[in-house]
Amino acid sequence: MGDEGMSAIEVQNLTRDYDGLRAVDHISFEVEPGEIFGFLGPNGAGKTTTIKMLTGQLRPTSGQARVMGCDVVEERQRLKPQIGVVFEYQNIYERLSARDNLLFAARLYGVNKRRVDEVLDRVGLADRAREKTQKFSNGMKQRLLIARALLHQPKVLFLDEPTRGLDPHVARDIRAFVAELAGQGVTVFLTTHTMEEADQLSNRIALLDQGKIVALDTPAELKAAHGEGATLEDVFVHLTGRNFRQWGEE
Amino acid sequence: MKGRLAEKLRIIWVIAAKDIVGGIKNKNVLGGLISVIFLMVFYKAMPLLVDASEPPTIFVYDEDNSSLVAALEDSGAVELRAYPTRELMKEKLAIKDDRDLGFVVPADFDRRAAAGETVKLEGYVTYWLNDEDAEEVASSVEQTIASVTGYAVRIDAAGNIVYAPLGQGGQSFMLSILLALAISMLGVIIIPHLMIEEKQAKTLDALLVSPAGVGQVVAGKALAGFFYCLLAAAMVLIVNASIVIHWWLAILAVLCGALFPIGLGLLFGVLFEVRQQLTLWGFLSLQVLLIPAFLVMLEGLVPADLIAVLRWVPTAALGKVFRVACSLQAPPAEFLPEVAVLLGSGALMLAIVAWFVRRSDR
Repeated sequence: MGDEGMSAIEVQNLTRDYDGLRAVDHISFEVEPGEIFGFLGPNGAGKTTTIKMLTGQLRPTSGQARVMGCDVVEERQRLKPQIGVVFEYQNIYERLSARDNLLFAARLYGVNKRRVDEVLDRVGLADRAREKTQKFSNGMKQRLLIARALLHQPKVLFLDEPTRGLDPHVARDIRAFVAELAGQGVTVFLTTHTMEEADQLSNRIALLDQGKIVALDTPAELKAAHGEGATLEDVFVHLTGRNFRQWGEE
Repeated sequence: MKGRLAEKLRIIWVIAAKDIVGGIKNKNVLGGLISVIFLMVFYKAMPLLVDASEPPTIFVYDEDNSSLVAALEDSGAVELRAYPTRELMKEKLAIKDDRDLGFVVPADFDRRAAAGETVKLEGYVTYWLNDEDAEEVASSVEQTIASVTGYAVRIDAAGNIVYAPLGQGGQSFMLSILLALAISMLGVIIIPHLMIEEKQAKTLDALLVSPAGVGQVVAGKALAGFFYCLLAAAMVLIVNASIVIHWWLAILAVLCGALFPIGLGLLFGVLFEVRQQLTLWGFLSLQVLLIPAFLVMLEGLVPADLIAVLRWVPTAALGKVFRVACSLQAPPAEFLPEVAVLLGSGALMLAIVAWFVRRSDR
């Protein structure tokens, strides 16, 4: 099957239970190739669980999901080269240099070494490539994580809270970089609990609350449906009955 | 199919290579290897310390109640062990693990000594002493005899080598424990550390979204652990190379004997999340593994029924195969059951690990 006309991500009634608690509850959506799809919700809403299922790390309790046509349960090995993942935590080998981190990933993916230098250059780490990453700032580590996720030129990039805990200017750089990637045809699945980020970057946004999608549309449509001048925050308060501050505290 | 297998093996190797190279900078791996070096130094230094304070032991078969043996006995300068037959003297010498010497005092010793002759004594040494060491030991005993009794003797041990009977005593006893300890320590401690480090840094998640599957990650860690187990075993064997007679069997013992500790280490790595759990269980499991390996060698002191059970513990089986490798004869019946135990227990442990691993995404 070719990629033409195929959704990058197709999710149907995806559900995941943990010890009797439902973390993700029958969610369904599709993401088109080249789209930035914002997955917005408070902590504990099920964003990371969804990413783990879509990237083959976690088996769904029920439902189906396909990424680039690959079933995330049955075709995990075929799926892996097509996706890149930036985790919500900075999981790099701190004893290794930036370059060695990427070289290891390159060997796993069977990617040419030259590509390592390319991505290091692209994320602006070429000058610091041989330094141990334990000396890196959070922003540098985050750029390295993005470089690792892009090393094998994936068609779909999963970004789990990519700007969390970063300085505003670093966060802005990363957002710009994500927009640039989408412009080059990479599909981006972005989870965030920052409404401005979702609003600014996403072509469409799914609002997740307690494991369920409570709204899914373009940022403009979501806001328009809740009255003139409504912000995404107003939309969320209206749909969930809680304000953003309460969300952040959960 | 062939290409997929090659790809899987390639990924296993990439993961193993990272851990093998990274292990050099890893304090846990280094700690394990340094512990083995320390054990070896201690093991080698012990006899030297003891020898310095104790009189040398001499094994003697006296053909006709010579005055030499009586003089040596009276002197107290040596620990004399006289035996009624040559064969018994050789047998007892063979199961000693020190640099001792045995000799035969000929029936005409007193007559020849009285004639002022330097009497040539037929000497015996254990097989693990090289010619130079044997000459040194013989020379030392000659000097002791001369100074204590006034008799001039020349002990010729060339070609007179004694071997411990199959599975009995000698240097291979303690060495088999050391070998089991080195392999078990590296397997049970290092491999789970490699896994737990990946878990704690959450780099395991990154590995699992890469082309590496859980099985390949586990296999890669096992391969790295296997490398370090072999390195530890090599350190033990190289330092004690003179003890090993059948190298192929010693290597087989190490290769098969590493499977179970590696499987157990992997299981700990899969099950445990923090180092504290590993420290406790690693320590306990080392006791459970090593005590049987020691007890099975204490025939007569430990009930035979208990020994019959304990000999199936993998480390005890490893010790037995290694001791056969250090014997003159190595009949298959003496080591094949133990090799089967090592392979079977290793395969069982790896199957348990595979079962846990397959459930890891649930």
